[in-house]
Amino acid sequence: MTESAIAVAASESILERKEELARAVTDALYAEHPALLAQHGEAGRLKCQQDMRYNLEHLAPAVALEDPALFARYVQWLVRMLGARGVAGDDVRRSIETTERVLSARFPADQAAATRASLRAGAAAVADASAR
Amino acid sequence: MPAGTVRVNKPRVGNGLHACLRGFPAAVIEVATGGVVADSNGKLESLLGREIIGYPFAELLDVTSQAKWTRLLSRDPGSTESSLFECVVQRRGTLELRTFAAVWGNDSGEERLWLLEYSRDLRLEPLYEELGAANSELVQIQRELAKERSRLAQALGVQQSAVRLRDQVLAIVAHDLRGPLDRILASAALLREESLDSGSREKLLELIARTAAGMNVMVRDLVDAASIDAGRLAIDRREVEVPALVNATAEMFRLQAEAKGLALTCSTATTVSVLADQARVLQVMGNLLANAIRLTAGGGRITLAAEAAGDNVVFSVADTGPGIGADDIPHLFERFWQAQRRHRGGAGLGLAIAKGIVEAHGGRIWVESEVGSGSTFYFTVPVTPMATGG
Amino acid sequence: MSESWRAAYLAALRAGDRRGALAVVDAARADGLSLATLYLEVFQPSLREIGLLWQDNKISVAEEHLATAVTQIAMARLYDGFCGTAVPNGRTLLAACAATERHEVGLRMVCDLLELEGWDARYLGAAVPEDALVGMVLSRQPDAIALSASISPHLPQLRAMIRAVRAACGERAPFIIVGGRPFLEDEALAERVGADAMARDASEAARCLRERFA
Repeated sequence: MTESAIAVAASESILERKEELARAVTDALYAEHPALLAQHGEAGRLKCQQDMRYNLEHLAPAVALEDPALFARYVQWLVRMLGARGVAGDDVRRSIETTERVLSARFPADQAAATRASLRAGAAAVADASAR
Repeated sequence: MPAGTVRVNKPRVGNGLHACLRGFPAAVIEVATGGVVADSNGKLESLLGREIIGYPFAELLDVTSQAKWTRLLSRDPGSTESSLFECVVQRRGTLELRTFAAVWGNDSGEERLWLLEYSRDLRLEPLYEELGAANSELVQIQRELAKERSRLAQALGVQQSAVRLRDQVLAIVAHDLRGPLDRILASAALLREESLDSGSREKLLELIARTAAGMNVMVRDLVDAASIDAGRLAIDRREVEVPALVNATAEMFRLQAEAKGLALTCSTATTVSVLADQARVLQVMGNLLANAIRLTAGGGRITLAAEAAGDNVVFSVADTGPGIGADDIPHLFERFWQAQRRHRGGAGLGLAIAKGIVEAHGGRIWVESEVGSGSTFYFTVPVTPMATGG
Repeated sequence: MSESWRAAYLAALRAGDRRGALAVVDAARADGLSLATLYLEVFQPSLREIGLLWQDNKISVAEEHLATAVTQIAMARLYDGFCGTAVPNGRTLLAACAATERHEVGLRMVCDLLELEGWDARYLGAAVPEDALVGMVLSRQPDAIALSASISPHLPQLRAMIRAVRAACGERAPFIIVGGRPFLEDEALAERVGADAMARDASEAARCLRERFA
């Protein structure tokens, strides 16, 4: 398979397995930071899962089009939007890093690799957006 | 102060909310500057299952929301702008998301923060998607309806003017056919006279034949116009030599032109042939030539020409007549255009038929003219495909 | 001149005042503001500001939707007024949004501006299935297709739509122009989804198509 065919396959897998992945990322986040559950409870967890779904929907096209900047611009927008609602940029970055780990564990190596550039650009964009 | 309004000195706690907010279906909370709940309409109490008046509002929130709450409280109380405060409240051991509109207000000289529960349901988002899709469909329907309405209005206008035109045409046709018919009837009546000599008889028969032939042309024009209108004008294409065609037309009209003192000349600089219905092209040139002869004063000049231009032959009929006003030129080839004018010379179908025939051949027809300097009518007919190779 | 109208319109939108907003539009038109100016200097910046207000948590999603809906109503009224007034120039456009877009105001503006110039613009709206779009393209043989996507998750579908059209039409595919936020900051993206051109806003789209089909 060519690189772009792998990228398209990765993008399609992200959308097809969106529910599973969003739950996995949320579970991983809560497992890494048990304080979250104490803070936000089940409601916070559900909301987090919804946010992860949304992140994955925006990650997919960046992967398919091999355009990490596309995801980076979304993250910048997201940080400002969530910042206005009291969510820190660090939380956003952590969720993206966790997404990278989850995809590495659950996707074939070549597909996971195809998602990496976009996820890293997204994580880096948090700093840019916070600096603004 | 308006009559009936009573100033009340509000006690610190428990009585501050206006009566109408008591019945409000969602939570309304009044918070004093220190962050202590001063009053509430009771809705949040029932949700949380605890007392809140007199307690710090922060006590109801989870840790992260407490940080946001502190930021909200520290904002400039003078600001009248509202903001949305989304927070997690602790409800009987579980946590729930709630959104409030937060507004600073002045209550009898004391700054207060009012919290009005804004939206209970975060599941609204999918509904908005549905709403958006429905709206998109409505927009499309509206646009199609607007287009249809404008089309109908236009069609109605066209139909109304067509009806007006038809009425005019009927009047004209009735008049134009009535004249010759009367002459034929009168001649026929005269023929009954037994005293008539054979010379006069001959003349009357000649008159009847000529008048009937004229009527025949008018009827043919009407039929042609109807055929063109219905898009079923029969064209019988054959190879036709251009010089012969032009000369034949000129010969047909030579006597008529000379009788009026007009010089009729031909100029054909091409020997190509066209693929055309000879009788129909003759009809077009004949219509143009007859108009030129009718409208050009004695001593004038009429020139019939044809020359090759690319894949077409351009035929032209030039006269030294009165010319055509710029306002009239765009309408010249419309049916019955002439019928709408006071000074007319025929039913007004000739040029419309000429246009129909030329277009049925895949050509086009136009005129160049100015008042006072004559007119030149042009039309094109495609050359025989074989000939283009040479 | 348009600045005060914009302020008035935005204020009415923020207040959720539908009648007030429509009254501003009527007054602006009576004052001689052109449709293009109204679209590009009143509606578009107002909606952009509303979007930012939502992003910054100053207004709720419901308020944002209301502002969009009010603008849609204003545009519907304007459309009814000018529809069919232009002399047809024989050009045809099909316009469609990728997926279930809510942000379709820009695309309608493109249609309206071109219709004013005599184009026959058919607005297909949101959620047009690929095969339906291809069917329309084959039967109507438009000169151009305008497609929009407001968020990047809609890009794959946009690309699929373009591919389907190109596969069905081959060499004779219409000119394809795209627009929407994902394209704004990336010149190369339009080419990557298979489009012939990209426009930053409705007037740029109209200008591009006008020049292409002059």
